[in-house]
Amino acid sequence: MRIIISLIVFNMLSANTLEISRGNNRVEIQKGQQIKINKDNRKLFFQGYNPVSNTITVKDISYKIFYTKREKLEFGLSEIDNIQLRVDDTFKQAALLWYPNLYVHVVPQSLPAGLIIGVAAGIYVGITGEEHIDPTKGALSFIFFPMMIYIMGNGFINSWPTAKKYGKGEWLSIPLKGSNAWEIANE
Amino acid sequence: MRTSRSLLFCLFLTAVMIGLVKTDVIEFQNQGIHAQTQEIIDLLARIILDDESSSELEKEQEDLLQNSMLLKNNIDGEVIVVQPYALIMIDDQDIEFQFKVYNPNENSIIVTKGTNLEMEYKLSEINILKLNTVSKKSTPTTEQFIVGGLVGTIVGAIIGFAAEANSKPDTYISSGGLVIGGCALGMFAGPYVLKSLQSSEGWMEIYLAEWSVWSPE
Repeated sequence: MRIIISLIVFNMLSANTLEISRGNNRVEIQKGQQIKINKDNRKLFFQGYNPVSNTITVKDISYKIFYTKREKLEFGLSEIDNIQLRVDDTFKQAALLWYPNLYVHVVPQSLPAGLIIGVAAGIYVGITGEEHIDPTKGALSFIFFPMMIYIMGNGFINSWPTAKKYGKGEWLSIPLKGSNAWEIANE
Repeated sequence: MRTSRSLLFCLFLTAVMIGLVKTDVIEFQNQGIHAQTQEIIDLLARIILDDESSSELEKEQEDLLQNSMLLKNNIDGEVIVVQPYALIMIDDQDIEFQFKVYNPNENSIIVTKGTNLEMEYKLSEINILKLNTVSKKSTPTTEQFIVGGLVGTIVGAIIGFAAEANSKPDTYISSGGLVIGGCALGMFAGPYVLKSLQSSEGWMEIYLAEWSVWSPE
């Protein structure tokens, strides 16, 4: 019960948006929007802001050819000098690129998968002596289908966010320190 | 059976067209439409309702001018009109904003980016204003976009078919996957290739120290 209550309180306290203002300008960074922090060029996905600890949570989703790195990071706002917010329309870009990007994720992973299936098939032939083998049937299917599901699932999950990251992008610089500093405006 | 197939095909085609328009792959040239409407209104005004419509037209033009920003060069007196929806860039930022309105009370401009972002910049804090200059002839028309999409679809389908046929030449039975994939990719790629071939846009840099906001009155 205590855990549930503390989870509810935590959810109430943390926000999915970070509101920053300066003069007449007010910017709302929403969950899923891309940001860059300080001089780091990594494109990170904003997740939320916790006013109690004064921290923001971001997700680093990076394509690494044979796998996709997904890491959740937390930054104290006091250690951030500058936030850059991506303001170009990445939704359209992702809508156009997620499908070809799916191949970018699936094809490299299917190469070692094919190798594993090949080795397994060789062993299978050695044991059973069968000439015509089908990896989708029999014992080989226990290797083939989980690998297939993993590769396709990984492709489907990561294709959209990594497609959103493509391109140079248009970045709005929001200094949090210095004479032109913006202020946190979350109520 | 044939009717239902045709119906399904038409539904698919409609969905694709809506998708292309909604994602701005096919962009309607608002300025062109506005210009056409303006011409028609103008013509009607001259033929039917001479005086009243003319005054309405003048009012419309006045409204447009009110939201525009007129910049006059301090040296040679050249005047530039920055109209609403004009693309501008501010200082060294690489963001293409849309100009919304000039606020004379604050001596500032309000610009927008997409549907969510609206920013106000004081002119005194801006050094360089970059104005987008794109020649009208170089902008592809809607018809050209559709043709680009169709050509892309056909080329994609042929490549997909060839790839599928070559992957299993002896016992070739099309599963259609690559053909459909090629169609989809070609459909999206066609208009973009066309756009990149045709568009020729440039940016005019205005050093605001040499210019001042000008009012015709």
